[in-house]
Amino acid sequence: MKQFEAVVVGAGPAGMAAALELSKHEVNTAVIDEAEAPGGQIYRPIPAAFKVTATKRMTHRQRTGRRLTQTFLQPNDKLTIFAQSAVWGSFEPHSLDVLQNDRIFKLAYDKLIICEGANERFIPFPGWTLPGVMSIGGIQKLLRHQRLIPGKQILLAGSGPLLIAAAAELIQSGANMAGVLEAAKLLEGLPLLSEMFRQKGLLGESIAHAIPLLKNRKLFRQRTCIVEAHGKDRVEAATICQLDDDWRPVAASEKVVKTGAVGIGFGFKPGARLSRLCGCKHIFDSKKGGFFPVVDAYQAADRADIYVAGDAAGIGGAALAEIQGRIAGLHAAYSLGRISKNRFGSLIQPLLNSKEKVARYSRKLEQIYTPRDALYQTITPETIICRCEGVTAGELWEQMGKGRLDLTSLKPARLGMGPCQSRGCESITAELLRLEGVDPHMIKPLGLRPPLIPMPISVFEKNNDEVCG
Amino acid sequence: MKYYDSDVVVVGAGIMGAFTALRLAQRKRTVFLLDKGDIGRESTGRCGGGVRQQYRDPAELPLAMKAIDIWAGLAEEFGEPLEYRRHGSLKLLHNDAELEEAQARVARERESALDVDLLTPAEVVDFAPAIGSDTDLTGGTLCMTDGTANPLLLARALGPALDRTGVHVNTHEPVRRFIEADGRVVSAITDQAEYRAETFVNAAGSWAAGLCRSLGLDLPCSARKSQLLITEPLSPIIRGFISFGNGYIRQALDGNLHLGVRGLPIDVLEKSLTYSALIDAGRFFPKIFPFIRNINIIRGFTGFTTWSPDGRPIIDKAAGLDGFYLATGFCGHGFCLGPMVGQLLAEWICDGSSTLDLSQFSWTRFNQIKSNAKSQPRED
Amino acid sequence: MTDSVKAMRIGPVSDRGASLEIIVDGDPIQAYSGETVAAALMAAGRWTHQIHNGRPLAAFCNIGVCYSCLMTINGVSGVRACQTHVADGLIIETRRLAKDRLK
Repeated sequence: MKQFEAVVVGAGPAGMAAALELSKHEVNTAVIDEAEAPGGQIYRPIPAAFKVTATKRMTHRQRTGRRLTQTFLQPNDKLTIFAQSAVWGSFEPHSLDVLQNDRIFKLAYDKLIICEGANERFIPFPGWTLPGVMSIGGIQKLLRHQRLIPGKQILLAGSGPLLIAAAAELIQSGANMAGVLEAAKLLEGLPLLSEMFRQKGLLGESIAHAIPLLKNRKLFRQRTCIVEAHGKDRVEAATICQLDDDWRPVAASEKVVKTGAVGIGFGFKPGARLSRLCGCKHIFDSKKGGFFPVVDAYQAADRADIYVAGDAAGIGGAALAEIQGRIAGLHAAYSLGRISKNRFGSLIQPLLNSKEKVARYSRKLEQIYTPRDALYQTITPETIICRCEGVTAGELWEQMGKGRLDLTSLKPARLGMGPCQSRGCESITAELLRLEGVDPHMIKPLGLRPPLIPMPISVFEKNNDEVCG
Repeated sequence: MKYYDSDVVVVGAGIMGAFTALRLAQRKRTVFLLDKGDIGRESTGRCGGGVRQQYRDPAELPLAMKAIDIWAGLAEEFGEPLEYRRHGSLKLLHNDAELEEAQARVARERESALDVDLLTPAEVVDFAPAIGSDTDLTGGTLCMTDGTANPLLLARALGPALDRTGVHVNTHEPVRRFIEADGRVVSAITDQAEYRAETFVNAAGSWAAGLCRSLGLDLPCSARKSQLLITEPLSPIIRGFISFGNGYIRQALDGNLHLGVRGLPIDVLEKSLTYSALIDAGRFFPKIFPFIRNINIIRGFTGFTTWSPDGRPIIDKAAGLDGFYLATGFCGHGFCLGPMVGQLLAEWICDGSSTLDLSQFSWTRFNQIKSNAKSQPRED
Repeated sequence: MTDSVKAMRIGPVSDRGASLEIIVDGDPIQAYSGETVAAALMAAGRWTHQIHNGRPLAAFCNIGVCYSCLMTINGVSGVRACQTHVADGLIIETRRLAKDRLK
C-alpha cells in the first residue's frame, strides 16, 4: 500500500490549494482526481485535442484559475498526482481504495482532505427526464468544454448566478435562446452588490454577465419557472409559469414555449459522498442544498484526521474554495508537526479573515436563491423523482402516507437503487420528507457503503491477486 | 419499571419471530413481539432471497415443501407485493464427487415427491444460457417449484400484517436478558420494561445465544457474515436462483443481479462490506457467467447468518426450563422455512404438539447442559 | 432512429481535434478527437442514450454523476457517454433495458 502523509481528493480550486499548501510545508502529499487534467469543474480545461484559438480577454477568475493550475502542475517532489483516478471505497482505517483505468490500489494517509465538490440542485417537474432537458451547468460545460450548443432555441430556468452566467455565455456564443427564467426577482439580488466589492473580479464578472442579458431583455423573465416539459422522445416545448412572491406557480399564467433544449438548476449542493463513506457527521439543510458535512473553522470534520474543503463543505464558489483548501492544508501541516503553534497562528489568521469576508457572499446567495417551498408544487404524483429507476413522487408519497418517513424505509420503493447510487434522488426526496413535516434535524442520509462508484466486475477479476482483507 | 403481561413474548422480529407472533395472535393469544431494531432489518431483510426446497438437510424437506404453499398465498394475505416467483432453483455440480452426491440426493428428494431433476451439463446451459458453454461442470440439479422473493418487500409487509392481527410490536427495544423462577422463564427485560408471559420464544438469530446465556443455557451457534453485491439493472438474463460452489446469483424483478459471495466466520457482529467480497465476485463469477465481467456492481450489503454445529436448525423447547422456545441456527437458508416454522411453533405452543415432527431439530442433540457461557459473537 | 434536432458545433472546425468515425447503432457518425461520446451524439442529432423500460434517457448533468447517459460502448454495458472520449472505430449502442416491474 502506498503511504502518504496527506491525501487530497479532488483537484479543483480547493484541492489544488490544499495540496500546494501542504507541499509548501514539506508534507508528502498525493492528489486523486477523476479528470485527465486538474481544475475541477470550474477550471476544467478544454480537451487537449482541441486547438485553442484566440479567446476573449480572460476574467479575473479565469486568470486566477489558470495561475493556480499552472502552479499545481509544476514539478514538485512533495506532490504526487493520480489523474483519471476515482476513490471507490475505504476498507481500512486511514486508507482509500482507488480505481485508475482498470487497476485498483490502496493509498494510506495520515491526513485526508476531501474536496469532492458539488452537484447541481433541481426541482423536478413532469417531463424533466426527457432527452434534451439538461442541467444548466451541464449545458455550460458542453459549451465551454466541447464548444457545443445543444440545439436551436434553448430555454434556461432556475435561480442564481449560474443561470445568468450560462445564459450570457450562450447568448455570446450565438445561441438562439427561447428564454431565461429566474424564479427570484432581480432586485432581490441587490444585497449581493456590497459583497461583490469585497471579492476581486466578482463585480466585473457579474457586469460582464449582465450585459448580454440587458441587450436581450425580452428573453429574461423574473418570477417565472418551468412547470412541465413536453415531447415524446425528446423535449419539444415547455410550459412556463409565473410565480407569486412565495414562489408559488400561478396556474392562470401558464403558457407553452417551443424549445429544443432546456437547462434547469437551482444552485448547488455539496457532493457529500466520500465524506459520508468516511463516516463524517452530516446535517440536512435546504439552504445548503441538502446534506453537508459538519466542519470546524479549520475545515476539520468530526472524524479524526479528515478535512472537507471547498464546495464539498458547503457551496461558496471558487474563491472561497481556494481559501478553505489553504486553511485545511495549513492545519493539516500543523497537525503533522511541520509548523510551530505560533507560526500556525500567524499564518492562519489572514486566511480565516479572508474566509469570513468571502463567505458572506455565499450566505447571501443562500438567502436569496434557495428555492422556496411553494416551488416544489411543480412536483406532481406522476413526476419522476428517481431518474434511474423511474420512481415517481406519487409512489413515494404513498409510502410516506403509510408512515415511512425516512429515506431508508423508502428503499423498498426502489429509491436510490439505480446506477447513480441515489446521487440524483436522495436530496429531492429528503426535501419531500421535510415538506411532509419531518423535522430536518431528523432527516438522516442513506447509509453509504462501497463501492462509491459503479465498479465493473472485470476490475476485480483482473486485480484478484491483491487480496488484502 | 413498567410491566406488561401477555400470553407469549417473542424476541426477534425477523421472519421466524414475526410469523410465530402472527400465527399465535391469529389463534387469539396476546403477543408481544420485541426487537432491538426494526422489523425484518437483520438477516431476513438482507438475505439472498432464495425460496428453495432442494439441497437441504433431509429433515428440513417436509417443512420446506409445506412452506412454499404458504408462500404462494402470502402476497394476497399481506396485501403487498413480495415478488415471489417460482422460476426454479439450479445447483451447479463441479466435479464427479458432487455429481455422485447429487444423484443420491435427487433420488432421495424425489421419494419425498419433490419435483427435482438431475441435468446434464448441456441441459444446464439450456436452462441458463448465461452460463458459459465451456464452463467445467458435471451437471446440475433443478427444481422448478423453487424460486425467489424480495426480502426487503417481505420485511416491509410484515409490519402492517402484525398490526392488523393485533400483535403488540415494540421495535428499537432490545431484550437484555430473561428471568427464570421456579423452573420456568417468567420475564424478558428491556431497558424500558419487564415483559411477563406464560411462554417465551427466542427467535433472535445471531443474538439468540447471548440471550440464552442469561438463563445459563448454552446455544452452540456461531455467526457468519454473508455478503451480497448488487449490479446495475439489466434486461432479463438470469432465471431462478442459481448456486454454485463459491456463491449464488439471482436476478431481481427490477433487473439487478444479486451476487452472493462466500460467507465469512466472524467473532464480532459488524456489518461493513469486506474488500474480499468484491475480489470473490471477480474471482468466481466471470468463470461461470462470462457476460458478468462487463457488468457494474453498484452496491453491496451484509447480514449475519446463524450456524448450528451440524448445519440443521434448532427449533425446540428448552429442556429443564418451562415456557422457553427457540428457533434459530438456520445456516443462511431460513427464508423459505420462516412461514412454516412460525406456524409449527404456534401449534406447539397452543396445542402442545405440531403437525410436523420437529424432533430432528432438537436442542438436546448437542448435549445441552446449563453451563457458563462460552465465547459468543459480540455485537458491535 | 435519428432526430432532426442537432446540437451545434460552434467555432471553426479547425479548432477541434482530428476528424474520426464512430459507429452508433450500426451507423457511421463523424466526430472529432477530444469530443465526448455524448457531445458527438448530440451533434449528430441522436438524443437517446438509453431506453429504460420504454423511457428514453440522455445526458443530463454532463459531469458524470447522474448516470442518465449510459450506453453500451465496445460491448461494455453501462458506460457514461459524457465521460467517454470518442475514438476512431468506437462501437456505441443505445442501451436498452426492458424489465417487468410488478407494482
